[in-house]
Amino acid sequence: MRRGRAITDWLDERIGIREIQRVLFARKIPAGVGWLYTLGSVTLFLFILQVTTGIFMAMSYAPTPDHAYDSVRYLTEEAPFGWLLRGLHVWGASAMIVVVLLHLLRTFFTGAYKFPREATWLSGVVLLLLVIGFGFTGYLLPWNQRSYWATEVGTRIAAQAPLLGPTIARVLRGGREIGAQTLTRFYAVHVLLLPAVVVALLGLHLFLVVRQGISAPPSRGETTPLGSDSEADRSRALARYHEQKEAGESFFPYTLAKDMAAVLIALGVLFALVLWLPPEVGELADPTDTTFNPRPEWYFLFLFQLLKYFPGWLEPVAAVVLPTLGIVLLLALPFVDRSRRRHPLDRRLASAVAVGAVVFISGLTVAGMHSPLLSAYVPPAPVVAEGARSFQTLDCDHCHSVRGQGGTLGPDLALGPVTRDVGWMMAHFKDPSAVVAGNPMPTVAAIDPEIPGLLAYVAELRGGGPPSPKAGKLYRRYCSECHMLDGRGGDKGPDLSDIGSSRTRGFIHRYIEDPKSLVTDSRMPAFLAPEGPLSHMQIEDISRFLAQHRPAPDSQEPQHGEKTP
Amino acid sequence: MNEGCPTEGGWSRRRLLASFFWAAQALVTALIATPVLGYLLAPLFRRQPPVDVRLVEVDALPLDRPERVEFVVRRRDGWVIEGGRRAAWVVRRADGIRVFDPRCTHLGCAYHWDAASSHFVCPCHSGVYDADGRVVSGPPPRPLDTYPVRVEAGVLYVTPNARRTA
Repeated sequence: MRRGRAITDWLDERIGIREIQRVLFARKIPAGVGWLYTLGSVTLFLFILQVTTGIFMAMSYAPTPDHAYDSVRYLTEEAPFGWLLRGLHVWGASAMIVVVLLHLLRTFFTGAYKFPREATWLSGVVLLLLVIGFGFTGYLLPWNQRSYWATEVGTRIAAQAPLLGPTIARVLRGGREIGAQTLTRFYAVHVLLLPAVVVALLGLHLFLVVRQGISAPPSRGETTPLGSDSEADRSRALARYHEQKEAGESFFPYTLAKDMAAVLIALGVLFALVLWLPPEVGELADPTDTTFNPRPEWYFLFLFQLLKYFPGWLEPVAAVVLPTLGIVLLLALPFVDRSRRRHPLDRRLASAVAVGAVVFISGLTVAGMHSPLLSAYVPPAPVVAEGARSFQTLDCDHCHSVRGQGGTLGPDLALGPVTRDVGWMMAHFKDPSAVVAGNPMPTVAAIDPEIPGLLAYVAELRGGGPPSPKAGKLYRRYCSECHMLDGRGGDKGPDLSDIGSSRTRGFIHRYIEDPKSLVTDSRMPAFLAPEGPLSHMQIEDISRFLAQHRPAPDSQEPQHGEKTP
Repeated sequence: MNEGCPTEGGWSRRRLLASFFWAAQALVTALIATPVLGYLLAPLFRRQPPVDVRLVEVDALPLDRPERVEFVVRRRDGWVIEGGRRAAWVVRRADGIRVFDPRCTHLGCAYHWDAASSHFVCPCHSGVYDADGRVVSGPPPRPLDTYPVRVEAGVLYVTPNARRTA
């Protein structure tokens, strides 16, 4: 006990902890400060959470186009607890936007931005913009389709700004196109520049919160002076606030316990979200892809939707002018708002405008969420995509072609059913010459982690593996009434004899399950139980059966020169 | 934290809230620290699966004269599958083949074969080994590390994970 006091004394003489304790923790908070006032603390907590998870995520991240996607996939699927860290970071980002906006609305509706807290409001608005900047720079980093296309659209929106637009876009991208330099720029801004600026502004914001005190909840009829009112008026208001404050309870533990409870709830919600909807890796960014449906992160959906209503030359109005006006209005609010009232019901016009803005933006967001996906697109399973990339890195196309593209020493892999068993293929992947004599490239050798992808890719090329013997019967029972196959069947739907050359098994499967999810005006009914008569397994069986329907191969697999493994 | 409160009831509510605060604080810290530490310390528990490399045909090796052989190891390191260039010293004797890890057992510098003195010489701190990897002079604490080897159909395979020589 005495030693504890000695340590406190030592620290007090050097850094003044008793004064810190008095100013920060023993300070009084006006009575009636409810749960809505915990939003600021929750935001601070979320920021700390983002920094913590971000630092450790950076240990498994490579900011280059050829490795970014793989490193995020490694983090999410293999690094111990990586999925949890990334999940918390991804959901934490969304939570941050929600909580910051609610914090802003609370401040608006309680009139807390008025004298003497205008500077607190200003720093808060800039912090909001920085949080949005974190979102924009952060979701390029996984380098998946969504990242790539969202950034393509986002930087083009910047390019629409009058005069300087194209210059700004080029600086953002680090060149004319999105590429290696865009990724490093976004990464440096996301993990170095923005955190540094936020920490500085957050320091100011918190200093002001402590210095000006937390605003007392407004009561009906209460007035507060404008910044331009007489000094006497302003001093009177400050003196009145001081009385309210001294009548309240101390920050520790009364307010802080409530803040901590809110933080605990927020963290609980985040864990629940991560477990319920774990973070996705998506598919590798592909600038040549024309089938992807680009959609921004939900907090940019209102802008995405708004752009649909402003055709042609009016586009910059929606893309640049309206958002800029909104930001300017938020920044100028404490100075253009000439009302001395604080209670939201005493300033009905301002409250109505704010409610209108919230409804408008929420409505656009909801409409954006429900906007139809125009491209009928089913992404390949990640393991198949990985196999396709191993196929490239191992130069398999030196000997094999896929639909006519590639070498001719081995068979075309997209033709005919799979005739080799898994053991043969694994031996072949590890040492091609061991199982096929005369192979000129014996040094190409897959290693164990690459094998599942290659197996999945080869299987997918040939329709996802063999269908069961019942597949033909299932097809005749459920499909041939409408579809022609090899000259037999109905003609209500398209002929399927050649379906395997234009559609993948995954596409066929999804289409049979729910046609309208891919082609909105499809007339075919959904077949998946309970809406339809078929189980998931049966649909898979029919899909494999159909995916193998394609024109007969021109050449058979070479049977000569074989060794038994 | 040390200012007085008027009633006994005030004290107990204060204590309750303070205890709740510290408990919640500890819980939040633990919930975040667990995944962070698990992730950070994971390399301590990770095992690198051994790879088997086709090194050279035995007949191509000279007898009793160390030969430096380069090879490529394709292996996965985190998210990267890379073919890294590696080297090893191979010594073929009448009674068998030994493959030495190319790093000095002192502090890991790359040593070389000095044909004039018939010794392996390390340029860093003058460690000297004989052709069987035994320490002749200098600071090395133990003989050269070896790789497990296997000869199959006249071809030498190694698993390039350094193993201490007994």
